[in-house]
Parts: sequence; C-alpha cells; structure tokens
Amino acid sequence: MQKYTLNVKTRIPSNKGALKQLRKGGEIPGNIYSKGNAKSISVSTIAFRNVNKEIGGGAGLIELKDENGDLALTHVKGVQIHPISRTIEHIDFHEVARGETFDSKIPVVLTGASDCLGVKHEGGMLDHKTLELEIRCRPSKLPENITVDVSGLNVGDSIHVDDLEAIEDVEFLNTGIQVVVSCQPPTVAVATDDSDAAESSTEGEEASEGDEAKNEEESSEG
Amino acid sequence: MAQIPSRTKYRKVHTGRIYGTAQKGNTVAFGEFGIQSLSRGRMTSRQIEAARVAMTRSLKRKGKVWIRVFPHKPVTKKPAETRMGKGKGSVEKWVAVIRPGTMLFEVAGCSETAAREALRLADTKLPFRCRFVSRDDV
Repeated sequence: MQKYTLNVKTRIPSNKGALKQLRKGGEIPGNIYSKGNAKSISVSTIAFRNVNKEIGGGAGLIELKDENGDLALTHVKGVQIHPISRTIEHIDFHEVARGETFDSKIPVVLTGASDCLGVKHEGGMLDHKTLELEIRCRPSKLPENITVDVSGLNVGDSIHVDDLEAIEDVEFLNTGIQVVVSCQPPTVAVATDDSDAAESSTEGEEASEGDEAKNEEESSEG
Repeated sequence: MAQIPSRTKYRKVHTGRIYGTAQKGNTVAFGEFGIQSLSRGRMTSRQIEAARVAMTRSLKRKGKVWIRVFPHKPVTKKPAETRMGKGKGSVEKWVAVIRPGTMLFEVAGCSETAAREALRLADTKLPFRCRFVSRDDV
C-alpha cells in the first residue's frame, strides 16, 4: 500500500464569499473528519492535482500534514467537481485509524479486454457495469485496485462479485450477485430501429406537409 | 421511435424558466465517453431521436449508446391564424429541459476516435453548444 503526503492549512469555517476568494487564490477548501471530530482545511490545487496524478485513478492513503506538524492518515471520501468548469470545488478526507478497519471504494480494472473471446470471435461488447467496489479492510491492507481478467469471457457470460478472487484481509461489501462485467451480444436491432426511425420521420414529414397544405388552403379560402 | 411519456399526471404544464446549472446527471455514469451541454435550452423528442440514429449509424453496431435525457415536458401551441383566448393550445411536442452541464448521451465499447465522431454527429442535431467528455477527465 502506497502512502502519499500532502501539506494542508487549517482554515476557519466561513461564508461563501470567503470560500470563493480561497479558490481564486489557488486553494481547495476541504474537511478532515473522523469519529466525533471534524476540521476545516484547505489544500493547494497544484499539490492535490500532483498527488491525484501519482495515485493514477487507484485508491491510496494520503497523509495530511498541517502547519503545526500534526499528521492525519486519510483517504479521499468525496470530491465535488464543478459541472461545467470541471474544477475541484471541495474535498472530503476521512481520517482512518491505524489497525482499525474502514470502508472504502476501490476501482475495478479490467485486464485482457483485447483478448476477450466474446469480443474477438463473436463480435460482442464488454459491459463494465461496476466501476467501483466497496470494501472493508485495515489501512495497511488497502489494495490500489481490483484486477479482473476478462480474457475468458464469451458472449452472454458475466463475472459477479462472488466470482472475484478473494484478497487477504479484504471484505467485499457489495452483494455477491452484483455483476461486475459482462460480455453483451452485438446490437442486431440497429438496422430495424433505423428503418423504423426513417419511416416515422417520413410519416412525420408527410403529416406536417399535409398540415401546411391544409393551412394554405384555409388561408386562401379566408 | 421518438420518446414520449406513456402516462402523465397533467396534460399541460406552465412554460417555466431554465435557471442554474445541472446539479445531477452531470457526470459520465454509464459509458466511457459522453457529450455535455454547455448552454441551456430545450431538446425535443425528435432531436433526441435524430441524434440517436446518427450515433448508432456512425458506430455501426460496435458500441453501446445511453440516452441520459428524457422529454418529460409537454409544449403546447395554438393553431395558426387563431384568435387569442379559448384556452391553452394543444400539445405540439415533448421536450427535455437542458441546463449547462447536463450529460446528454454516453457511449461505450468503441475507440475514442469512433466515439468522438459519433458524438460530433449527435451534436450537430442539437440546438445548443456541447462538448465531448470522457470518464477520465477531471
């Protein structure tokens, strides 16, 4: 389990205007919370972006260090992203206690997608349904991601949470019957859909033309 | 076939105004790539269907398409050359209300180049500005 460090500043919880000023100054407001206590902090945008790049889409523990030198081992619980500018607006860090279990979400990574039997020979398509899995483990046992080999999947086959390889000291919290990835048959109904659509569109055009003609007639009568 | 609601509580609704940005439905949730609106407006059921047909034809059975918007809102219109009054007009079309940030379509199971082309063709059918986004963008 890799650990990353990030310097943070303690901030006083304030109003919307102050937070906007903070964001303009290149900082992201955030919170650290654990059982029974919470603290408002701010993180440098560039520093967080670099750490995020290092983590590379996987899961990782971040050690936060404030001005007083206090350390807190955390994981990113939530990130608020602006829907249009795509900038990070707020980060929630959840402090984890060493030696105690905690719940986290881990990305699922597919391997052998290009060699998948269903895709290669039958023209199927991989449907990656579960992108993240909820797990419970101790901080030292947190895996970066969960790798699923899909090279043996035929069309119609699927891999469920129960089928995943067990990882030592890691408990999956999702239900066992939840589909992680499946190989779907190729879409056959596209041609008929198109023809339907084409028919319906022509019908629509005819109808609209008919209405226009009627309107013209009415107007000429009037 | 164009999408329309199968059953509604009220036949006609007020025009309304489109304020703010999309607070939900603004991320790539099902596929790998998508198009996101950058301005506000209405998208008719015909435009949704035209965009869907353009995408499926472009992808040639290779990918999977998700439509993330649904035309819930009825729009009425009075017939031409009708005097004012005598009640609200009849329902002419169904529209989806689009706010900046709304994810409109998503695509998976194809290369980024193919997805870009398919979504570009879909974009040409729409009355507002859109942008291509992928799941990995932050």
